Amino acid sequence: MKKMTIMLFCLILAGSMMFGAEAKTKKPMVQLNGSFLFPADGNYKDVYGGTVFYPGLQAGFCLSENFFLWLGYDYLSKSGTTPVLEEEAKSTQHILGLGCGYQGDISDKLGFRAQAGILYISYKEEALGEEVSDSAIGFGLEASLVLDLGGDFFGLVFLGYDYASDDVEGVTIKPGGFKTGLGLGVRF
Amino acid sequence: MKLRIFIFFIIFTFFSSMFLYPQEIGPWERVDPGSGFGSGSNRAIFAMAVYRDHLYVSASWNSYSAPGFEIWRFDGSTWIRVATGGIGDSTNICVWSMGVFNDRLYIGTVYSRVYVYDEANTIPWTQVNTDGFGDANNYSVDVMAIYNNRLYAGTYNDYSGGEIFEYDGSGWTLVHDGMLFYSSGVRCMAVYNGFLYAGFHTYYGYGEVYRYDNTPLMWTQVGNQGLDSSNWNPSIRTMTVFNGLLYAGVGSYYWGTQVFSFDGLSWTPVSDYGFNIGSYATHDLEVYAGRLFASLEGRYTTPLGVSIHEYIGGSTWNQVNVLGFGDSNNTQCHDLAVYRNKLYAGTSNSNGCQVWRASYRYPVTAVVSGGNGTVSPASQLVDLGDDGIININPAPGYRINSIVDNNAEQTICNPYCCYDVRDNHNVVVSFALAGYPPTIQLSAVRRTEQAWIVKKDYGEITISITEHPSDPMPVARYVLYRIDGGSMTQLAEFTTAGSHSYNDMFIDEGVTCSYQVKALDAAGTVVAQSEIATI
Repeated sequence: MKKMTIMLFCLILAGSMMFGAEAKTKKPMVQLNGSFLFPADGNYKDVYGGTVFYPGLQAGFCLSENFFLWLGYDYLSKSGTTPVLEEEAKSTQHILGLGCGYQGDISDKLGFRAQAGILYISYKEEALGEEVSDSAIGFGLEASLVLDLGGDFFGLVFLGYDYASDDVEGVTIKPGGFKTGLGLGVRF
Repeated sequence: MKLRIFIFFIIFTFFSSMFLYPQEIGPWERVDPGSGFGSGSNRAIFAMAVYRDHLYVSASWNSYSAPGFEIWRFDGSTWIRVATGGIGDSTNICVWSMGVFNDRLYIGTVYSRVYVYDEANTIPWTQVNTDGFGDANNYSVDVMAIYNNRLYAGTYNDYSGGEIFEYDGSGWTLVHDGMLFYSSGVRCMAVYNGFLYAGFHTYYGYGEVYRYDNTPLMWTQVGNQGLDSSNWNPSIRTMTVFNGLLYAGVGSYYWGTQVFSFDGLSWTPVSDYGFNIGSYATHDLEVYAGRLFASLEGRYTTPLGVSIHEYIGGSTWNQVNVLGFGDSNNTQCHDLAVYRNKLYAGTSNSNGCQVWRASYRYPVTAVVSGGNGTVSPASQLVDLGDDGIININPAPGYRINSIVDNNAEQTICNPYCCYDVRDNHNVVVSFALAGYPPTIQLSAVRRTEQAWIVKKDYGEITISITEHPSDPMPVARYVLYRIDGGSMTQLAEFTTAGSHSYNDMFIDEGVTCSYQVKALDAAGTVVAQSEIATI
């Protein structure tokens, strides 16, 4: 409940900032990401492997020429087997993110972006005949190189790190980890 | 008291007769596809032969109104006609003889024609001689024999005498000229002690026996006066070799047929005249299952019907069929044949010929010595060449100790099988306490399996089963149980000794569980068990 209250507060803050910034913003943007996660949690790696691919969606709203707000959603789903008994296991994560960032130009076609934000991660695992689900709050950092593709389209490559931690029945879990990926977006 | 003694005597006689004279032939089974193989014109079977594991049977009618002979092939269950209409010549009304030579089937017909048939190449029937061997008076080839790797064919010729021709696969050589001594025809041939013996028929005279030592046209008389001058035996009808002696059956016009044995020097009668049923001819002698059988003419017997007799010894013969096989029109059996361990009889019948077969049956008995188990069946009759199967059932905790078959120790197996039965079998089975029980070691460890978030306790159970190296107790299965309070839940089952492992996922954290393995025999009795392991 506490996590949901914090997340709700952040969403209201972001909404009011976007509303307030509307007069001087440039074009908003939307991008679709494909990411590879290198999980930070050793137990997760044992069951689901050292690399997880997942899709994501991010929207951005410029506050000024260089600053912007972003709102993102990522979805992770992976099946694996338990390490000793090799029983089937399946986990899913829904990651909502909200934060701000700074963008600048390197050349006419190439720019960069750095962003940080707060993450709300809802997770679930089905294994060994049981099902456990909960959520955690964390944060994320990300740096990107942005390539202007002409018109309002752009592409980007990014590198980042998501961090969260939670304690479930005596087990400390750490959703997130290093991530890298590619994105394709449009300004309108 | 006398009544009890009498009843005991009756029962003793009954059971002792079962064991003293245990073998029996029969029952007879009719196997033809219909009277005359479906044709009323096929009234007689004059010849049968086994060729390439098939029984070949001639079906014909010695009448000029007949449409020509047929040849049928039998594989034990199915009949196939391989020749019809006298092989395209309706004057071929009869097949009188058959012989297998150089892996080919030869048949002798009226007009003394000889045809060859090759089952492997399915070549058409081919005549391999000239009609009558060049003599129109050679009416028929009545008999064939193999001697010194040659095929011999004997003819019926009541004009100039029966003749014998030798065939080497390419041409025929006359080895007995009918003019050497008079006869009406050659009725039978047999090879005995290195000689070819031929039995002759003489109208208005006596049957005679000559032998041949491979010197063409040189025949030595070894039997005259129909073998019994006091009887009028005009025909030596059949000969065969049995237990080191040559046996001959004759046809008689006076007191009935007789069978004689010949030791190389003299003939000895081994049957009563007419076999005491008034039969005037012995048509065939055949050795089957180490016994001698005779088929007797049944046209003038009272009542009518062909009879088959088994030679017991001395002058004693036992009739082994119902007269005429239950059909008084079955008056003759010109040929008996042995095929796939069964005795076949082909009959002559005015309504169509028939084929009957029977098998020698041997008692296979099984008994338990000393108890502690059962055998089944305790007694069975097994056809010659078939298998007798005995199921052995040890009592719980016991195993088969020995199987003795006709006083010979056998390898222990269950069921026990007397393969290819050709004699009586008396099987004695003994049981003993089952061997040493296996050693079963069980260890159980509580472990935790961790997924990403979910974790669960489970029992890791390791089982080691060791059988006794030399005398193991027979165990049907090993069963792993979980013991919860007073109840036992079966978790797994193993059928072999050695190492096994099992993970019990259905335990809760902090809850005690116990495990045990039990060894069960085939009857479900626990014969060994492990210690209880608790986690």
